[in-house]
Amino acid sequence: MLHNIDPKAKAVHIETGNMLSMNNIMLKVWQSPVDELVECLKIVAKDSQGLSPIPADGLVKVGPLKNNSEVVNSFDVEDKKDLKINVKVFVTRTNKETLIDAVNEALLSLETDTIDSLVLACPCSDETQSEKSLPWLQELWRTLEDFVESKKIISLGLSNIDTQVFISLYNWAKVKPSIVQVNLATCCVVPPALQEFSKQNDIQLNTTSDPADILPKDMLQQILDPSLPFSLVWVFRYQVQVKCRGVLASKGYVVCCKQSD
Amino acid sequence: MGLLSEGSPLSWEETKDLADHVRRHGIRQFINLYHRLKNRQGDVLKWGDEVEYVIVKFDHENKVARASLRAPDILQILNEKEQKDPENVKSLWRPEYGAYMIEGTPGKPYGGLLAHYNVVEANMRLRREEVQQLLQPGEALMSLTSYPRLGCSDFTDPPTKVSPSDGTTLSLFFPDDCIFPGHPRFKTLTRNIRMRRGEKVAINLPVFKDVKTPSPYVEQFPQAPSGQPEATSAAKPDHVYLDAMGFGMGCCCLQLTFQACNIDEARTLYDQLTPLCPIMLALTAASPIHRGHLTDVDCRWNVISGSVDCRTKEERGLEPLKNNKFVIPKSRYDSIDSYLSEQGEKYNDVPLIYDEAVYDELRKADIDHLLAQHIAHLFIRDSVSLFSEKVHQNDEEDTDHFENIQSTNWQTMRFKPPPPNSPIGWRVEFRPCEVQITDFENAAIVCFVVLLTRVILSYRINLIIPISKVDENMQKAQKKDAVKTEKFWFRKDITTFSSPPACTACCQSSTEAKSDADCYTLMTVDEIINGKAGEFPGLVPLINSYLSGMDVDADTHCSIQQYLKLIQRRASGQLLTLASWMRAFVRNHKDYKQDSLVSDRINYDLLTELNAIQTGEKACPELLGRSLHSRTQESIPTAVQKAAGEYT
Repeated sequence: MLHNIDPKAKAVHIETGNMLSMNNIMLKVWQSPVDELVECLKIVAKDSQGLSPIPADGLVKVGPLKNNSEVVNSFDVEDKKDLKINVKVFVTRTNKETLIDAVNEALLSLETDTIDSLVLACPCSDETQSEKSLPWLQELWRTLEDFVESKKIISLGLSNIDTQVFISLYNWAKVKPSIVQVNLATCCVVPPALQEFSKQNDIQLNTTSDPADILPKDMLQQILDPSLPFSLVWVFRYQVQVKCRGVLASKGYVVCCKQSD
Repeated sequence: MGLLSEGSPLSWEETKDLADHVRRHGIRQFINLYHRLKNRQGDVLKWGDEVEYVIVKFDHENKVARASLRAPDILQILNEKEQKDPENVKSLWRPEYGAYMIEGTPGKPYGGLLAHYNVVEANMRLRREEVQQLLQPGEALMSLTSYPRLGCSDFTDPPTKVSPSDGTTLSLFFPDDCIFPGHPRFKTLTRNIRMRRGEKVAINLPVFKDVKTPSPYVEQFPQAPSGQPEATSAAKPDHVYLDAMGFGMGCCCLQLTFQACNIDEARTLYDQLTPLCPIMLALTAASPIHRGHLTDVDCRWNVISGSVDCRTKEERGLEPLKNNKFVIPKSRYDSIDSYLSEQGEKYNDVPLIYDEAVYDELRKADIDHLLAQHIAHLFIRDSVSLFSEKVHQNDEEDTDHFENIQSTNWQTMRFKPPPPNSPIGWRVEFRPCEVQITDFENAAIVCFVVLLTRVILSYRINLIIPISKVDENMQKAQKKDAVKTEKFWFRKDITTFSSPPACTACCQSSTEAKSDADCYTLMTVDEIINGKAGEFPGLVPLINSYLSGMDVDADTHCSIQQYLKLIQRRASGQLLTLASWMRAFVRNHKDYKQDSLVSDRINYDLLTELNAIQTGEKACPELLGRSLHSRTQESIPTAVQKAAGEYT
């Protein structure tokens, strides 16, 4: 567990690095992505050095492990253009600053100018499953549209979203979502309305095994000392694929906790 | 079955005299093509399956089923269609050894998107439907690994006669007229293999001893020509004796080929899939009946191996070497003898036979040791089919002599260089699987293997075990009920990355600390496919882990899950292999006399039942489960195509 973090730090980033080079993570059979992430973070926490001075920006970075700091496996990839970078962002707060922070960090840590596809996982609450979520969802979406406009993201998607909310957002949006993810638990029983709508609008209806809450509080407490004044703000996962070959080149998570308000 | 050159075949004597000529030029052609193409990079994943079928003719009035020799007629129509519109046909059709067989492949290879897994089964269906339209009343197209009464009297439609004292095969059972007549290659190969060997081929399969099977089981062969003891002398008691190439090459297989991004990836996949060959053979076992007998084997492999065994007595080690160069342990149809990647090198533990001069020539031409010995080993074989038009070639451009030897080394895996002047890259062919009765099963197997290649490349796992252990597994895999009863050598320590310091505590092993012998162990097919707690993750769980990291559209995901469930349940024994199912069907048939014999009536009912299962008229939960259905589609969804197109 991480104890030795200066409580005055503004934020803590925990990075897994490329999990594909962690045999004991990749070759284990996990019940869910949550278990995989938690196990991986524990290893990173265990390996982290003692207290380090807080950098000027107030951001303390933990991980990745030395052996898997390379974002991409040294693959037979001639050129970076043959890679497809997918990012999925899980936010716990619905303000746009949080999302901007997460996307910027993704661009930075993946050392890329462009993310090929970014899927936003809506925060887990009853509200997200109703039309009440539309106003703040639209605000977040506008933020993402700005990234698309500045060519930092190519295509956008949504996960963990009610069908009616999705349709309303789609009809409103300037940059239409091209991906919608449904949870595996309901595979083969995709909501018919969503299936129909995706088909008509050429939206990729993809499956995911991610729960809405990728890092539940009780799990985080096993990694970051709960007596420290930090709480989870966002998590993003990146997956780098080699285009047209179905080969994964890299996969990892970055977790961000900030001073609790 | 291999390269189909056009032209007139040479006699065996002429072919034999040109054996060294073919070898010499074949090697030069390989050297040239290697240097032309060794640096080829960046090829995407393209892949395809090959399914072979038997045309069955049902005589419902007399309750008899026969192998219909109409393949030439049907192929002619199919090939005309292809010639008219080669770019847009959905499937391609080729002749196979039997005049009752055809081989179908997708019109275009599948690609590297996950959604491609969801079009495989639909394409297989289209293929069937295409042939279905050309069938006559009573005919059916069946993907049967081995026609159960192949070589029994009156097994063909129209009837054919054996010619044991003259002709091509000299078989007591398999008439020459059952060999595909539309291309001279098949008869030429048959004759040349027999003449090179110096006698008929001989396969003895242990008979399945049922309660009323005579012991010892000794067959009489009244059709044998009198005064020719060699016509029957190879037959062993308690065995089913087969004496023709047709018993092997007349079997149907399920094969797949995929393109690697470069030569090194092709070597990796060739090696990594090798240990999987016996496992997939056991899992797809579909041929317990040969020449109307229940046998103690479930698979075709050794039958084909023996059916094209062109080795002389000297080469088989039965007589001292006098006219031949080598004693050769295996037939030219068998499991591979050496790995090609650096990772595999130390597991090359069977002595590799090759001509030093050929090896030296390859080494001098700057071909590395592993590839040089592989090619030199393939080239211990003589050409068994040569066409007059192809004798003299331009070694700078042509590759026919190389392909002549390469394509008549029928091994579990094939390492395929790019064809001359084509957009195709380095490829690997996976050849052990027995073909299943339904498109769903065949699609499941094909998708499983291709998905596994993606897992191997993404996670860089290592499945390699010593070649000698793979050989051992190949023999076990063919035994009756091998999936349930046998244990196979398999690698348990499949990791390749060295572990970061903090991980070592929770790692079971670090690669360096363990001796190689500790890396593999005996496992059941269930453990290999489904995993064993604390020891081995299982191949399907690994595929699921890979899939969880990819974007999969919901329909494709659903289909893949159904395919994986079929594989998992076959492996666990919850569902039967086709071989077990067929054996049980025969043994429970009211006409079965518990004497190992599969009569015309049993054969008819068995094939009728299988055909009803294949068309979906009848459910077969023992074989296919109760609820396994895919969501296969004929084409990739536009949304997925669009998304892929944004980047290409």
